[in-house]
Amino acid sequence: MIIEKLRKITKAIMADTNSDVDFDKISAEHKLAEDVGLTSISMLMLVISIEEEFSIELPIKEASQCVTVGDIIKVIEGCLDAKK
Amino acid sequence: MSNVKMPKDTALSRGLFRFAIGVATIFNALIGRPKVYFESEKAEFKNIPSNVLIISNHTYWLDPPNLSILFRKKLCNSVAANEVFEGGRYYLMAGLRCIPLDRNAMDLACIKECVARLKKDQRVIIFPEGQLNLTDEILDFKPGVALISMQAKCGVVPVYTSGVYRPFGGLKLIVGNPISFEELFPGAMGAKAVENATALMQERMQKLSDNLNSKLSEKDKKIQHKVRQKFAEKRIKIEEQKQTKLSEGDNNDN
Repeated sequence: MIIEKLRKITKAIMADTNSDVDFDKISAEHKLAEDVGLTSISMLMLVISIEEEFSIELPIKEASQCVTVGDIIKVIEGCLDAKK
Repeated sequence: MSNVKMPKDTALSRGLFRFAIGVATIFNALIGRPKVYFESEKAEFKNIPSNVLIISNHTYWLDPPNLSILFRKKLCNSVAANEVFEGGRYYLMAGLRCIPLDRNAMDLACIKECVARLKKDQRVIIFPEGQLNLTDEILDFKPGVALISMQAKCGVVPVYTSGVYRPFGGLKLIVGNPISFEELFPGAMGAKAVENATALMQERMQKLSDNLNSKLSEKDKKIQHKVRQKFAEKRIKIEEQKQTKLSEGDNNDN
């Protein structure tokens, strides 16, 4: 499941921060900045990690416009579909 | 993402660049003759690892070629704002092995290209303040530099430049001790690690700045101030001309 992999990735990126977010409970409705606590640099790290994890190349313009976890899942799904 | 096409890293481009740097090195040795200091023996050119990120303050357009000459032992690339690639200048910038960066967006393409070139055992020159800075105060570093270092698993060499581009030692530089990858990222590789590595780079640069500024004479400082002031005025004029052209274009469109 994409969401599970995303949880793992965000957990790894934010592991050394003092965030009190429970990354195992992240859902599609959560906002990347406000709820997950991603900054512009951690967003870049997220994109890099996603590309490595799913062996895809994310369209950066679309990825940077993502507001929620659900938005980023849609972009990943689009890339995975295009890969098939 | 940068809207400028990423210049290709070909054998021809590498050969031409090496030739140009060879010629420029001779001119630099005969006429420019910048005064180079080293923080310690570890910072001497012979002791610098091959694939490193060279970070420097940015005071003039000639900083990238100047650093490429000094660190020529390995092929150097420089990160430059995509605005300077406009029009025919694209070919000059590509020839100088510049990597375009869109400073107003998440430019992952630039980060990836820097990482790819570092992994090819090349060096990348980057200005972590993200802009020309004509003051003596170091601006806050952009975290993207630490991210490149983390992705490429390479160290960083800080360089601080002062003085002016004038013949016979007008420019003064100090090369800092290389900061290894392990020193930059001692623990987990998360967002906080990038923040800490950025802070460490900034701290080292500040030390170098204090060190070099203490070596400058009052006369050097006065000349530097005067030249920088003129340069700043020139930049304002160029910006104003650009704005006028843009607004004229808008009026014509309407």
